[in-house]
Amino acid sequence: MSVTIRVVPVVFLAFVSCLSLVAQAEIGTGTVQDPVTGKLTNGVQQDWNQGVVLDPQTGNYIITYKDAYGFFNSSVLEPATKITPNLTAQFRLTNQDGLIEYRYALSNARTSKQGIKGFRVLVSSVAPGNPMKTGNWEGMVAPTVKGPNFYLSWFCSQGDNVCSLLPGRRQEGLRMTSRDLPGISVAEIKGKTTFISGLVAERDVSSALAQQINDLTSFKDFVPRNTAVPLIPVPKPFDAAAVLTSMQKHVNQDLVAMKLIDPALASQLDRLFQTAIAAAKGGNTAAMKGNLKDLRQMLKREHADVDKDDDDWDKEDDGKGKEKDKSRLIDKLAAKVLDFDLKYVQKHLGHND
Amino acid sequence: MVTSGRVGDPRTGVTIGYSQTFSAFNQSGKYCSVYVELEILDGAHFGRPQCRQNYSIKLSPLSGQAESGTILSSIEPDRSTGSLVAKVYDNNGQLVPNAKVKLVVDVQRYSGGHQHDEGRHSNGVNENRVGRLAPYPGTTATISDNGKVLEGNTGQNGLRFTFAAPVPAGDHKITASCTDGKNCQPEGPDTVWVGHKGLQPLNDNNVYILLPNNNDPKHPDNHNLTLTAASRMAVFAAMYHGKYPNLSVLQLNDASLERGGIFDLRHDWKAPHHEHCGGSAIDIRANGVNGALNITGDGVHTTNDGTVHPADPMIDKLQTIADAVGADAVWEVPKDSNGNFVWNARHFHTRLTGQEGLTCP
Repeated sequence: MSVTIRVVPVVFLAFVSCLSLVAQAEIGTGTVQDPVTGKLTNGVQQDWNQGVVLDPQTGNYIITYKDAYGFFNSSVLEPATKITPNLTAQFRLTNQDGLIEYRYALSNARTSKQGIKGFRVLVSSVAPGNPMKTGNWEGMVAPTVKGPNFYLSWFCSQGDNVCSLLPGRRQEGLRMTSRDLPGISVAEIKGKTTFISGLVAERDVSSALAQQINDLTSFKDFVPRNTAVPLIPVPKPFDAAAVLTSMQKHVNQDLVAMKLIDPALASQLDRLFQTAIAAAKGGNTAAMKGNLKDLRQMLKREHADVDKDDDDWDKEDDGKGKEKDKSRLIDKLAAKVLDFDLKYVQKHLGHND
Repeated sequence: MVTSGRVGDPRTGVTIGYSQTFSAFNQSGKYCSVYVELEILDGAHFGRPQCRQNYSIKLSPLSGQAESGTILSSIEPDRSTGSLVAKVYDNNGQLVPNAKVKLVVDVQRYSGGHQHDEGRHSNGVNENRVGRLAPYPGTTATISDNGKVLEGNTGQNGLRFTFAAPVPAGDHKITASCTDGKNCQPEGPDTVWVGHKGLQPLNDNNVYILLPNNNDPKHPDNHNLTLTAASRMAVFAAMYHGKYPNLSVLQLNDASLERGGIFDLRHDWKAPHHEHCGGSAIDIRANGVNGALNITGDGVHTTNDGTVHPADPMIDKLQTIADAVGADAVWEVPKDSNGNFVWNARHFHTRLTGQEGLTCP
């Protein structure tokens, strides 16, 4: 199965630039960061305009604020979002004891102003020994410590330096395996910045300005892309009701919140999930099979090739030519993922597709 | 009856007898003190025994119950409680309407993780060092001393008020009394606990070193985090150590005080040390002292030898590990009070579970 992710790019920079705020000028002494070299000069006396200003030429922000000691600071903040990434995901059932293989390809548009440093995404689990290193791309997995999930990430690392995927380049073969079935999660993709901001993190600024700075930095400094990752746990021994319940929750909560499915269609799917789960719990396999079939047909109505296996796993998805088949009711990747999961349950029930 | 005797009235020279107060409990078990007035022996005036009522004044949340026998309510720094109420009761436990009461709040010395006290007990203009009382909206009461004192009438159901916590954590005791001549004894919980619940000291771990706060003995307990943040720090440090086993493990400096709240490095109840209030951030030392991670340059700041060295690749590498574990390691060279960067104090201000915001909390 081959899936391309085509989501309207989030215009993060444009959104932030709308928030720019400039206050009245004030004479004082402070530190200025050179917008080209990044070097800091102390003891500068001038008029200061507190606020956040976007430099349209560089895409960087000039942040001017007064600190707790009454000194001014004019710092350059280079966001990690000057990229237009494309992330494609493929997944297939392997022959190894129920393991599912996931494969990703990341590309950076020629128009990007930064290389891509890497990305991180939330997953339910990965198999031991994963993710694998591919070329300069090092995979890592870390517990979120806030729940049962993990952060899966790949970052570019070359020798002693953090590297990046340059504009116009593509990195294929980012692989991992998991026992869990795919769902949709948001990959947080970061561009590689070129110089350090002179912004002091532990600063003291007005709350209005602070909020703007927070919106630009830290945990919001990435470009989001939806992708398919392990998210639906598969208990061992297999429990169809548990798998279907996780899928139902994923549809009703995640996919609806991500606006990948129309709520009306979600409601229809939910009713079928409910009856399938009830049938599974009651041991009524025949009824459950019927429900699963109905669910898959509903998805197929929205995307005719939702159940089409990718015959050419060896050829990585280049993300091209996948724009035509669009349903307004459910995102194609979401439909593909759900269909794959339902088919997996059917297989466990001895269903022949 | 305790004692009695005779004395001369200094005004008239008449000898009078006296008997002192005695106390007893009435049938309902309430304390009642009885005294006998002076008795003039010539019989011109006979005093009558009188029972002077004792009252109690109690504080409680308007809804729900106090947290314990001493803690009235708990609240995070810079937040306000819901409605609290002061009520006066008579000897029989009956609510006394229309009593005039006075509430005075003050912070307990050395509470909340601060082993310093100077300047803590009063609020100047634009200062938020000690908690403030205020009448609950719709309630009439008088505030004085910048919110430390509140006076009003209990009306039919008690005097409703709120408590606004300051930015430093600490215990605030509210002393209640009656101002209309009643002998009111405060009873029950009287303290508002200000701080963040759920902070815990970082455990010792072989993948990081906790730096003792030798430079700041007035904040001796500086390694407190939420459980999630502490766990993430351990994962972060373990991944760093796994990747760079030949380097020293990470050295951890300030996180939050035992209850969070403002971490006033200068012992003045003010910033800076933002985002060290709620147990979500910690500083990773990077100045090379005693085996600490040594960032040799960042391409931006002037180092101690007066030059700007190229950015050390370890900045990117550490930040990449932070990215992988869901943290945000912000490179920081702090400034001193003269506005100069202090290269020797360089560190990674590491947000472990999100941004706290730039004020406390």
